[in-house]
Amino acid sequence: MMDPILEVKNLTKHFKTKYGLLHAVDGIDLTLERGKTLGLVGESGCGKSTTGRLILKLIEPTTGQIIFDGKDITNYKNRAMKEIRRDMMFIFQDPYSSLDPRKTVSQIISEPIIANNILKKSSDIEDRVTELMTTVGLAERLYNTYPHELDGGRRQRIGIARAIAMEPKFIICDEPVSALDVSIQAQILNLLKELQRKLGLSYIFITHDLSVVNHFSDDIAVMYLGKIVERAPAEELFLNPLHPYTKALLSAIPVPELDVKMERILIKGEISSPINPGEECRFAKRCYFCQDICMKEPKLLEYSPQHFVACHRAEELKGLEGGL
Amino acid sequence: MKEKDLILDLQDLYVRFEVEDGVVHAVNGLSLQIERGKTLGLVGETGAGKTTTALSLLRLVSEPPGVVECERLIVDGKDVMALSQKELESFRGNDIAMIFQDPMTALNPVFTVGDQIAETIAIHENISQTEAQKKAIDMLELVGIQGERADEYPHQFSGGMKQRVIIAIALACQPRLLIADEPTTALDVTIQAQVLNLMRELRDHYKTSMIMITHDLGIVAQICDEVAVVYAGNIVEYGTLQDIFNRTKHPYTEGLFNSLPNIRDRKAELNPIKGLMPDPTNLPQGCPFHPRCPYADEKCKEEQSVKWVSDTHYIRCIAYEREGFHIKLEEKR
Repeated sequence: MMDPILEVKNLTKHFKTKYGLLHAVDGIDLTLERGKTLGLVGESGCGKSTTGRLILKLIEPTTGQIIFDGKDITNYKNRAMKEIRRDMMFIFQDPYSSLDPRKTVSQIISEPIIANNILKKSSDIEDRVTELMTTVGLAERLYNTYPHELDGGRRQRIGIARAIAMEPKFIICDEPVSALDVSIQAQILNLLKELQRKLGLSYIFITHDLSVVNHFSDDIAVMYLGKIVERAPAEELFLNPLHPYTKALLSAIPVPELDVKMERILIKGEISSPINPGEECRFAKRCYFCQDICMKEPKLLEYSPQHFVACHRAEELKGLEGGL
Repeated sequence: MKEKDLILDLQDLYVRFEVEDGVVHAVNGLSLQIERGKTLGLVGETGAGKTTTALSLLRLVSEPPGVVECERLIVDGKDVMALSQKELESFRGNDIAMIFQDPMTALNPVFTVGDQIAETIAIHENISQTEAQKKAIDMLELVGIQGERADEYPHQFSGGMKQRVIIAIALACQPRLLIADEPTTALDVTIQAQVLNLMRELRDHYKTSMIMITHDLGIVAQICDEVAVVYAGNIVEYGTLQDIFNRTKHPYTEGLFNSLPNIRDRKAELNPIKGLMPDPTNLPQGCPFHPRCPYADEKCKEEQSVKWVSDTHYIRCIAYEREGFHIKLEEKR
């Protein structure tokens, strides 16, 4: 049964700059099933964070359609949006700058509850904050501390408590563990998984870390320069990557094991400019398999059930090394 | 035993910072020896004392508030603690150089990259400005940037290219020992792979000895010969790459491995180390890891000692004094 909590169709965001039109997000389609996690992977500047912001309508899309929980929210304005935002939350990358330094832990967590008039009696609010703190594993004694007194892992827990305070259905996690040490990173990932089970949350998990996304997501979409170049269930993507960029990304993961003989596909150069991109495949300039046909942009097509790829040569390159 | 040809011989390094709120014990009796031509990985989490150790080797810890003490610090035959300020200036860059973590802030925004590379060369080698400039262009090309771009400013470069420029500066005078402090942490994976490849090539080309500071065990596996796992200012496990990855002994190292997602098994649970790093102003008695260690007993709260497991491999853990003690990871192997 398909029961998507979120559907995004042809979502596009162009920014005007003095050098031309910057194609931040260029016509992407996404579907997120209820209770599942969709990983959005790519390197800096590929448009993954912009996509997250567009879905929450923190910025207005240029074109496209966003259907959340059965409602087309593309044209929702302030009041309707405020209503719907209770169900969709954001966890930010940097636990150092996403918390108000002048507010205590309890003030930060209670803010959405008070702003939305959920609870009025201060003792109720207090109880709810304590409950949320317990849920995310923050000791009660931290109730009146300030963010600067806490380490990165605890701060990220505050961010998570704030995000789940409204009992949302859907959370966008934008690189939630990138700023944390590995042992703390694992604690936070486990917490997010546990909350998903308990509260039935659906996640979009934005990250550049492929081993984290593999562990965490059900489906993965790989972005490059504003486009989705490949989308598949996590297992399938890691076993049979089709797009040359996905292959390169996977082979660039530093695996913490010895004697792993992995065919390394080093890609040349760096991500090109998203301003006024040409007609050719966005990855063509860095691609080892680029041919004449690649001067025309490929469409994202279903290659095998549930596995979509945007590459003219996917069929030919299929057997090539790159998977695990 | 054969005398080893050591590029670095560090014995009992202590670094503390005496600040208003108390004394921060950053490095606590760390000893390290590196053979010429080898690459050592210094692994640990934020606040373990990796960077402070590296800065101490260059005598770059600011004193005060820092206090650096050690039994012995010899780099390439030079007694570094005895060098004068003037001698230190030529020592840094010539004998030892450092690549910093953040390429975005390590370059001077108002000078061209060519000038910044040439500056290093001009200071250390007795050559004219034009020659230094020419050498700077050679260095740029060596790290894979077109020579014409020497006249450009850092803001015109991407993160990966800035890091290449920094590598060029660090290698300009062909130091014997290169310290790389998280050189790829700020970079994207594909760029990280490029930069690591470059570093490996240049290291082999110049036969530079290297200390690679990182928190990423994946990078360690790719580039290092030996590994020192650092916790609360001291080495808790030391050994060859094989020792650390395939014969892990210390509970903290085990915890680090268990915290990493297994790329081949998505369903595998993560088993993070519980709790947090100890406060360096108030380190626990005995083994500093005991409050987080699943194997700790009463004795661990009192003492800690070094145990050599083989000729190349030691751990700082007394649990192994118990009959038949082993960590869980060993059962899996």
